[in-house]
Amino acid sequence: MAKLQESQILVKDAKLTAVRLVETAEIRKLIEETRQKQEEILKLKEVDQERLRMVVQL
Amino acid sequence: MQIIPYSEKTLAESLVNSYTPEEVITSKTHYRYLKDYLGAGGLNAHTIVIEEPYLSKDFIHDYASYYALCFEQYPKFCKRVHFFSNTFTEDEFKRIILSPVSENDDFWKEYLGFVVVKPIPVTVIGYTVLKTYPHSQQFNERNFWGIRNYKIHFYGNEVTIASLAFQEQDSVLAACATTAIWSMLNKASVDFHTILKSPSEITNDAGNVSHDGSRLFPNKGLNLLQICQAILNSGLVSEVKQPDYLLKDAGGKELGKYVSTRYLKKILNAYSPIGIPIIIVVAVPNENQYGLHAITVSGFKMNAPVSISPRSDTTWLSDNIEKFYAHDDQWGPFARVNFNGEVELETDWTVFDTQTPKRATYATNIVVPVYPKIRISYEDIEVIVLGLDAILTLFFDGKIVADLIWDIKIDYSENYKSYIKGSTLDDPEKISLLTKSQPKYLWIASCYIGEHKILEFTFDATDVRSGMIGKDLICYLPANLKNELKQQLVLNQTIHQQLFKHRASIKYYQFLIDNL
Repeated sequence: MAKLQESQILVKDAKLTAVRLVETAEIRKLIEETRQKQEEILKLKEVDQERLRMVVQL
Repeated sequence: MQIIPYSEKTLAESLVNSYTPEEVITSKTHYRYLKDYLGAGGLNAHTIVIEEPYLSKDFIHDYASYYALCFEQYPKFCKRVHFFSNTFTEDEFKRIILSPVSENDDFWKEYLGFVVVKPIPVTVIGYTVLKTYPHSQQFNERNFWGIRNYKIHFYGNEVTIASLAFQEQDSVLAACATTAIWSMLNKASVDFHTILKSPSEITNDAGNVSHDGSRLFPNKGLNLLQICQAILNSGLVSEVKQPDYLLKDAGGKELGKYVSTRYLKKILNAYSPIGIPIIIVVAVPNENQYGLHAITVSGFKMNAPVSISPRSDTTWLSDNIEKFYAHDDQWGPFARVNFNGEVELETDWTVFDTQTPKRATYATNIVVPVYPKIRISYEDIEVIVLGLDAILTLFFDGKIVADLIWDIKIDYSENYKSYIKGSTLDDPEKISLLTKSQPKYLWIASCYIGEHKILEFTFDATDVRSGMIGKDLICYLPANLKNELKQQLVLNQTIHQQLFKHRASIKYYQFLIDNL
């Protein structure tokens, strides 16, 4: 298997360099949306006791 | 021994017993299913061999615990109906069974498996092992990850076929939930920690009394707690997945909470490498209402991923699962289930629904049986991955040719090491990973751009949730991009730190920097 090349994953002529991010509205929004998704996933771990008593009987 | 040509008529005749006439057999959903599965569009059976009497180890347990105590004199012997895709005479078959199996490989390749016919009224389909349709682990193919090899002893010959055992519920010792657990245990019991039990033993394990306080037998079904208890008593533990989708009608009236197709696909994909079949509780249309039913998933078909433009929503490899295959004790083995939209499933209950329009099937819960050592669940990993996805989205800043695709799976560390051996990593890095001590089970989160894997994160699946569960980070990016990513992490620790919800986030962030 060949090693991955930049040209396989980056759009033409794109250059990627590390930047110090400023917390703009756009970045704030991304963080908030991510945290909301994380909350939703963690909520799935909360067990609904009523559902545990539903009878599977067909 | 009786050898007859296969036809829909002879299939029905072979399933008959002294309590169940042919007209009852042909009215059963199992018959409808089996004639399609074994017919020309399926396994293409041509010959039936009937072995009678046959003592089924599975039935004899149920017989001893219930049927032997009935006033009616139910026989304890069954018959076993074998299917072949070739044709032969009785003399030819006698010659075959007298000679070594190894001399007749071509003949035994045509063997399709068997159905045990129990000597009880109506619910006659006992221990059944039938070949699957063609399958492989490649994209666009059926992938049966929940099957095992069965050594079948047939008139002094040992034949091996890959399958997962099936039987219908007898509605006395077992309802659908018990039967779903029984099929699951048939695979899980290959591991020595797990005990395969008969349906009556599984129902007994669920509790001393029925869910409504009345007698356990005849069994009227199990609730989710009883299902988990029965699984626990067989040596496994359960992760019960909750519904995530609130279904509403056109007028906005709430109809109930169900498992979305996206979440269901994620769970099937995530736990499939362990190979233990997964039980899904489904609400199915039944006469004029819905009823709860349990099915056992042993495979799925996943389409090859296609590159999509970068988008704000996280993209999962599991989105490519097109359909799955489940043992439905009221239909048959490896029954196809299609996804329809955000929450609907199309099972045979939907396909053969008598109402118009046909009513959908919905998943209400997923019961994932796992080995007790697995303590970290899928959701714990997805939370971390969502944070990683945001960090990488900020780093790549829209300059990538396709969206980031995530694949989260749990696997044995030995499989992970096999994968490392065949990877594009440099030899010193391979040696470092291969010689490193690893926990038995690893969660592996892989990140792709299009078809190219760029990063792989592994987590200890046996640790505690609040611990620093990160084990390794493998970077496939070119060296200059890897360095820039590391620099980006160092420069933006304060912003990035907000993206990690788990308790050990500070340590995990440092782990990312150290391991890049």
